[in-house]
Amino acid sequence: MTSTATVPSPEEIHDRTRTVLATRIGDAFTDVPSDADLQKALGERYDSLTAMECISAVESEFGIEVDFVADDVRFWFSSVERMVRFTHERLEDTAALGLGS
Amino acid sequence: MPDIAFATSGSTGPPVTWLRTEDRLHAEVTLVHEAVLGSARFGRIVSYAPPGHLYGRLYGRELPRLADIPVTGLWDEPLTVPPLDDGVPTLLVCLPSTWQLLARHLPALARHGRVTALHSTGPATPAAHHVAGRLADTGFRAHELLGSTETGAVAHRPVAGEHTSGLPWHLLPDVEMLPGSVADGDGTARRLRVSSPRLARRAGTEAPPADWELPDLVAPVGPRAFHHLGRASRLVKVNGVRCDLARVEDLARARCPGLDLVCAPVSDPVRGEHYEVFYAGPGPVDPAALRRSLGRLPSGLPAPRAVHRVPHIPRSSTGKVLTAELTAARPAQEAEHV
Repeated sequence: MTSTATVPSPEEIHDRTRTVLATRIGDAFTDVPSDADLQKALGERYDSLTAMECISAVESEFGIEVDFVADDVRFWFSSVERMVRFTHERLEDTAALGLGS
Repeated sequence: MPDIAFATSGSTGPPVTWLRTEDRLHAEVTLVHEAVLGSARFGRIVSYAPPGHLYGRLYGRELPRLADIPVTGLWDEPLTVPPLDDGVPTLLVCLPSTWQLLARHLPALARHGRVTALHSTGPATPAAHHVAGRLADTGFRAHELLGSTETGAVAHRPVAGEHTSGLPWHLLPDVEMLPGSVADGDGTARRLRVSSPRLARRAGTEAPPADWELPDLVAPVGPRAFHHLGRASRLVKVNGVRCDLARVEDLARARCPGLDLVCAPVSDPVRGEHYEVFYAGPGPVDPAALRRSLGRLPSGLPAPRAVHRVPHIPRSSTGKVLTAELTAARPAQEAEHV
């Protein structure tokens, strides 16, 4: 049995992710759907450096670590939906392994 | 053999092309290799600097060619970690943003033990100082270069650890420091003026200038070293692109008549430097429209990092904008990030 009770729901992760991304990207992000490819939707506003900032923000918000070697960051951080899936799975893994605080 | 052209962006005025001979490019990489990198024998170069600019060309193309070193170009992939698992002596050609990546891989860098990082095109970021400090007792080495498209590299210093006070810059062996324009009342701060056999030739001229004054403010420490105090002009570099804040203000005011509007330079943890726009106006002004307008600046000028509406622009009795007061009073609730 895993102790997933402390893992936020995907809906909560979604809302918190959108909030932290909005602080990094700004109001241009407001109307971008969560399933949209951020680079296509935002163009240069979501360049690689902004992606790096957003990855750091998500890490900080949820207390997770993204491995730039093992994790396919270009895929998982290309849309809000994918970020939510990645974060939820990472939090579930952490909880299951008893590594969470 | 035709000269090789490097263009400044034109963001500080009309675009300017500066020409360099291949011999001078080779002289520069040889000099930096010997004087800064200690003639280290690298088995690989990994470059995060685009080769269209002088710095990227020198260390991502000319040095690999001269020293017969395989090169991996990652300027289009700044999130890609350099190879760190085989112990091959490696030179990393870094931009300000590269240090965020390296800061995530301190154990691998420490284990590798034979990585040298070269940094240029902007101030070393907090992440750079963090990495240098954490890896101080390993084989990791890091050096900064100071220079410009017009001059090439003129000075160098180690990247200081986060708990190290600012180290002085030392001139490269073929560079001489000349008396620059005085920038303050007591003459402590001067513009950095140099002569060098590697100065570029401006397109349309017969020969390189005898000397060149950079926008950098310095305080000499003896004849061949100085402390860097900042920039004399309102110039910041965002992702390596020169951005004259006075010009941005002119463009923004032209687009938004009636607004009191200023640009303030800010440090940026990823890019080294950036700028933000603060504005005040008598009537309702749509911040989103202002942001969209500033997002389409000409000549490759980078858009501001953020736009802030403030009640008024603080100024001294002589009309000078009080930048520190302005940025300290940044109204988070009304920030319109770009």
